[in-house]
Amino acid sequence: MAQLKILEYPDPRLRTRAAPVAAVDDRIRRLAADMLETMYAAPGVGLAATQVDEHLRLLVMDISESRDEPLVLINPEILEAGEPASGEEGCLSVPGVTETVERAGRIRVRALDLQGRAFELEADGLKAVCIQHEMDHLEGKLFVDYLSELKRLRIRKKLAKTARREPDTPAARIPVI
Amino acid sequence: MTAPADVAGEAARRAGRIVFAGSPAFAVPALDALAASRHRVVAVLTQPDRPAGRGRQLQASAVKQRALALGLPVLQPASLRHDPAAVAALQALAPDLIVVVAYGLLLPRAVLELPRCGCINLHASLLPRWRGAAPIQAAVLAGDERTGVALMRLEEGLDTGPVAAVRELPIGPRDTAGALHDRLAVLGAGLLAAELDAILEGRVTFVPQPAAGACHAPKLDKADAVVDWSLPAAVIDRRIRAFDPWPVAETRFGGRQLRLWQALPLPAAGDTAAVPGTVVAAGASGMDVQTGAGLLRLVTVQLAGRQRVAAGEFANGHRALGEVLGR
Repeated sequence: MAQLKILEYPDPRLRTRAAPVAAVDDRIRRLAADMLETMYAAPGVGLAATQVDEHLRLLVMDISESRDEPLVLINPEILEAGEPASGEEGCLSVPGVTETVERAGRIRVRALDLQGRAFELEADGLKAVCIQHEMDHLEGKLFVDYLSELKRLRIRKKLAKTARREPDTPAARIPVI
Repeated sequence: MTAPADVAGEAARRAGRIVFAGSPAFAVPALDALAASRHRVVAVLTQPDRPAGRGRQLQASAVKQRALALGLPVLQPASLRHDPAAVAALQALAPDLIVVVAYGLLLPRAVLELPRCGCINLHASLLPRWRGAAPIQAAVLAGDERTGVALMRLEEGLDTGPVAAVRELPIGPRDTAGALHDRLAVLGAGLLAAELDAILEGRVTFVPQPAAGACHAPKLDKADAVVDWSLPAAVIDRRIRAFDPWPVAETRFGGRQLRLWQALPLPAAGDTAAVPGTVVAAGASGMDVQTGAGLLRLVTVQLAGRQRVAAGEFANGHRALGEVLGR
């Protein structure tokens, strides 16, 4: 088990479109385990493979308070999306920044688990937001892409300034995805 | 010393009466060539003044402005097809030849058959390739290595008449449509000047265009100018050069229009995995964008409402690294 390095915005590698996982094998299971370890250590509630420079359609998450309900989605697809809802988001690749983003408030998703079995799940609230946020990463998309250019420029300047310092501690009540 | 009277008289008798029909800047060197010849330009046909520029003020065509400066009479019918008075006025001028260069209006059969030596047209392509409205841009877009000008007899079809003479020039790898336009306008004027006497004396053979190799260059539209980053870098580079100075290639940066003036395709080796449109590097020499195949280095760009700037400076000021253009 090892912690992985998380790419930070505006690294162009975060703009990579991930390839589908061809077979769920030991390499994928080890990557998922390393990503969970990295996510818990960060700490964050979700992490896409793209963020650790592995361009495969794989994401891990855990939105529980107790930090003991890991979820791994391989080759996820959104089957249904409900009405839009707004919520605050942060991102381990955009440290110290939270902004309001509008996404579907409820979704139905199909994915493979770590044994390579297909399953479906319904999610709303933070779980729905987190899945959509991580799935965007697999398309090379970041939550800051939803913001106005003015806000994005401010974020880029802030990150450039703090690049050599420790990332700011995110506001406690807002989970970092 | 002056020429003996009989020689001067002979020359005057043989001087042809020419009507020139043209509108944009491309036609101006040709008009100058005719005005400088020993023949007489008896009238200049050009399109009516049109609103142009930011104030949408009526503006005379480039040819009209030049004709007035040369002291030549100007005719500006809105249409020759539906204006019998304009056709009658042309008839009264008894032209030997009508020279058409980017006039922009169709000549009806009555006008085509009016002059003794017919109507000839200067077209900016190696016919039958790139018939139609935008031959210069089409040649750059297609990546042609050569283009040129052709002098042909006007027929009722679109750029289908038999050809008297052509001149060629190479298209350089960094040529824009604007630069090519200026060179072709001068090349065409030279061709016209060289062939004029022979055409008026009926000594020129017009050869029908071959059917093979014919293609059409449609008029460009503003909508054509939006860059599709999934195309290869070399193709996008050609589009940028073909759309300079109009309609100017554009993309979006943070939701705002970003015009692309100058670029350079980089050797394919530098490809990254980033989605097409991503700015993958930025430095003093420009900003490198991932395309569908290869990197394109943007050199000069212009954000809506701003001045043109070096792309490296833009990338620095706007922190463009890692952003995706066109979104």
